[in-house]
Amino acid sequence: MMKIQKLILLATIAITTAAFTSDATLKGKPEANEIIGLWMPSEGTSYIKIFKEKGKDKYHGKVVWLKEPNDEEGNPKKCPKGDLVLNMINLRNFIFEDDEWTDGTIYDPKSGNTYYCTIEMANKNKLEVRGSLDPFGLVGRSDTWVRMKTN
Amino acid sequence: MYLLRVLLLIAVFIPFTLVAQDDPPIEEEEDETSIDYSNMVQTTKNKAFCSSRILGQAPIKLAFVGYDFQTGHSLEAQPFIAGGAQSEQSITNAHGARLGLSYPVISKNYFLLNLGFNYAKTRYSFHSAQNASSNPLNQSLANNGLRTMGLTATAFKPLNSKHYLIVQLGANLNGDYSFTNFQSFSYTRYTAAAIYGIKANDRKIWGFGISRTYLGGALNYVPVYYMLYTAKSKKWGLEMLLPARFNYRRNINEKNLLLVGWEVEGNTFRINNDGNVYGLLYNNIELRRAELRLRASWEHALTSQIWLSMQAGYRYNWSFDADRGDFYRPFGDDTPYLVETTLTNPAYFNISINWVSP
Repeated sequence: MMKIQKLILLATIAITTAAFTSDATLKGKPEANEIIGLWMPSEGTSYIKIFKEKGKDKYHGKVVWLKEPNDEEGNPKKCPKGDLVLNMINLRNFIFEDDEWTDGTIYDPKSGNTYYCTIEMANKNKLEVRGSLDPFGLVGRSDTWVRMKTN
Repeated sequence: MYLLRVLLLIAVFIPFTLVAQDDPPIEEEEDETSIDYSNMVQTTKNKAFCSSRILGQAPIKLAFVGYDFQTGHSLEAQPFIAGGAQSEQSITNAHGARLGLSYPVISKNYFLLNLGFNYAKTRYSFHSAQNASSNPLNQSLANNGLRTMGLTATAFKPLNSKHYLIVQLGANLNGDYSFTNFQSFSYTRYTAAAIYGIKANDRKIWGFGISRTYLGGALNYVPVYYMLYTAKSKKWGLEMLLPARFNYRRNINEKNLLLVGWEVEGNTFRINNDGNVYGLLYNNIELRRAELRLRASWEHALTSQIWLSMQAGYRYNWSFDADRGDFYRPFGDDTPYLVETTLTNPAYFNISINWVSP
């Protein structure tokens, strides 16, 4: 009995330690416009085109491709608000500051929720996109997006 | 009333609100509309991983403050010492505060780790405090009530876009202790669970596993079945971790959910006999508490992240017996406990304010 309890205790300590040590990401010094391009979130079911707004230093993102563009009834996919998901702008109002794109929001067309969002560039072909409930990014979820190119 | 005021104040002053987004049109600096997006490849390998959530599921509780109240019932307990008198007591009510926290320490697409804390106190009000002193169990419940505090670590590891693993580890300190007369950590009880599963689509995730649990009142190893499901209409769904809990979910609208189902609550609680205050020959008595809560709950969004939960139901007693030490007891084991009790079944109510991840 004591052996199992010790094993569980050790595993808890190991996981907790991993939680605080495994979060390191190698980052370079990106340029503001390097974020412009076509990106695929980790689920692999959509492409997001990130672009710069005309006449402003603001970046936004638009859903330009869906692996399954239609819902189960065969109609074009819509978000809970009723808007079409394809060509929807789901990243808004990012500015480039301190090597990251910040002050923006991300809209999740599945849940219909909009979250605070910060984007970091892990390397030229990978983004770490973090959506959060709070403006400080304390409670949120990060996703790795990969850059897409023409075959 | 005081607790209700506190709950409402928390609801009003918690500053987090999801972002309200207006959608003005945005003009691109360079518009390239002629790209064939069906002919694209990844510049670098990025493995696809399934997420732990499905469409329409009940919001995940990150923190809650609640209050639990059981109506009047009775407790009939055998004597602890041979030749002692059997005791039957009327309990006016059993009530107490409940708190919980769950923080996503790591929340990446390839790994999620949540650390949680939970606390619950149950106070027992006996109809006659004088008579309650005739039995050590009644005396302990009347004087100290029961308290539980615990930590959990829950890891969700997606293996690919379809398959995942969940591992949960827990440590709980349960007993009749107070903060001024704290219980030794040597009485910590450890739980664990592991589930392997499949995310079938955005509306269904399920899995099988095994758990080391005290939910039945004593240590047991139980197979578990996990499923979250939302119907195609998105108007209803099922949320379960069998046999511990089951909920039929009715999505009334974005701000209101109705849940109907059950939850098993249980653990083993140390009854402290330091200094032989109860005049017994031993100091390792543990109360084997397990109960089935059949209930309906209404979940209402006060704001996008603050939800009110109101629950009412029937508390069915499975075990409220006492025995010595910590031991394994599988379902179907009918070995009599040292002290067996009959606890009748009251209605119960629970209200909580929850900070949720919508």
